[in-house]
Amino acid sequence: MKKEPIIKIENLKKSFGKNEVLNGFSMELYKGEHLVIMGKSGSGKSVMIKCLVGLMQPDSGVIEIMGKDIAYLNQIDLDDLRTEIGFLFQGSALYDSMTVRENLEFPLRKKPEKFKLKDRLVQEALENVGLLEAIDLMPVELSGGMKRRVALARALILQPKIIIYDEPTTGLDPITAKEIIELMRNIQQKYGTSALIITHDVDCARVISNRMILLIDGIDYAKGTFKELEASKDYKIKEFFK
Amino acid sequence: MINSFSILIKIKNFFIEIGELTYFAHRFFKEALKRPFEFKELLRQCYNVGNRSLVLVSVTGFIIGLVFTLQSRPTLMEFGAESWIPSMVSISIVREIGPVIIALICAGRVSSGIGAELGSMRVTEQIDAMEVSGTNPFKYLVVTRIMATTLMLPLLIIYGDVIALYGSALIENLKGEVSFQLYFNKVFNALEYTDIIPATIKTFFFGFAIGLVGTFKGYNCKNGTVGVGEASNSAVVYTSMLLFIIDFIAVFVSDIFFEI
Repeated sequence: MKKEPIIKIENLKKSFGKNEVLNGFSMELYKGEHLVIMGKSGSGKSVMIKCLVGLMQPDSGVIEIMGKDIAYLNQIDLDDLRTEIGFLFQGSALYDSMTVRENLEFPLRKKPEKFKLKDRLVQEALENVGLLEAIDLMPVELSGGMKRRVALARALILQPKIIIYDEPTTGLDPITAKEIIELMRNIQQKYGTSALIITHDVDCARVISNRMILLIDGIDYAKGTFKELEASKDYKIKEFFK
Repeated sequence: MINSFSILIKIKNFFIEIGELTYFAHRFFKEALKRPFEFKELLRQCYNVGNRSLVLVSVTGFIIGLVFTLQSRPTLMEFGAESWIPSMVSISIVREIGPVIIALICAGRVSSGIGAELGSMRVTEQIDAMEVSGTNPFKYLVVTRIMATTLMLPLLIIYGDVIALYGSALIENLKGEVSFQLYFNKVFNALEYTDIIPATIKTFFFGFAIGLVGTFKGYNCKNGTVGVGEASNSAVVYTSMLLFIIDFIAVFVSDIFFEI
């Protein structure tokens, strides 16, 4: 029996004026899989995930999440679908005016049945990332690594089926980056979530990926496991693994 | 040729921005009437707007009353009309000077603050984070802030007017030996509903303009941290301009209905 993808993107195109950023990008993410998308800076990785969660409108192409074409969803259905997706932003994107607790409670507002259990869920989410002691701190009082962990706890609090990581290790020191990668692996083992990871960190891709896509010239230039791509003779692919 | 072309582009951009601002205002009314209502956030924003501006409004109001009375005293004394000071000062402050100056002060304080706050939330992807968590950021951030400024500005202006009258009364007490009781008796005799009602109604529009422009500039902020500064700065400039236009329209309309 053919496996159904949890996310499917077909022939995605997006340009800004004359600059064609995505020029027919396609991919599938399967249940429980960790798919890494690598590309150079400005190659359109962030544009692709913004199109994926509806923050940006693509020029053309099909995006299906859990069998639903997001182009045909109304705002209410799109918001409901978004609660099934956790998103870890590159800069953590914690709400500055709220404490860590309030940051984590914020997504729960969408699910009244979970909001009733907010104290337990917030505590559990912070325990998962090892930051229970930071519960009443403001984001400004946290280090870069702590912010990333809190953001990860916030992305997880609704127990989403899919997590999107946008450059999860960028800007972190090697030790903290390793800790974040370890956390990502633990989350997959514990909850079995599917993950789409955007990165240009080869070490992160080596450790975390089940499968990889290289985004070059706006298309899915190469697909395969880390080992397969690392062994490629294509000079454009080799550049990534130097 | 190049100059006239760039002027044309600036005029075109100005009209595009007016169009976008109008659409933004339309979206505000549409979202404000939809459930769920963010009462908790609205209260927090009301507290922020009031608390942020209270000291500034107090100081400004007091100095307006003080200076206005000090400046007009010598001229009125020349005509032996110093007994008219309380009525002249109170009508000027309540009708025009109080609302406009306090609104301008709030434009500088509140509108730029909102522009900078939402602008930095935009460039640090906090607004995107709200959106992907399934929350409507326009409703949570924009609607609550515009409603808070619309509700709080009239209160701040009434408070500022009262403080200004106290400043004026103090000068009259020190220089003209007029008691506070006599001063305020003259003020209440001079003021009529036609002075107070139109002036109070226009303060709601002032508050709306301050919130609308501040949120519009911040919510649509671009170009990273440079954009945050631009959003904050242009929020003050646009709001100040809009306040004078609203004031002109308000006086014009009041003239028709109240024959001021």
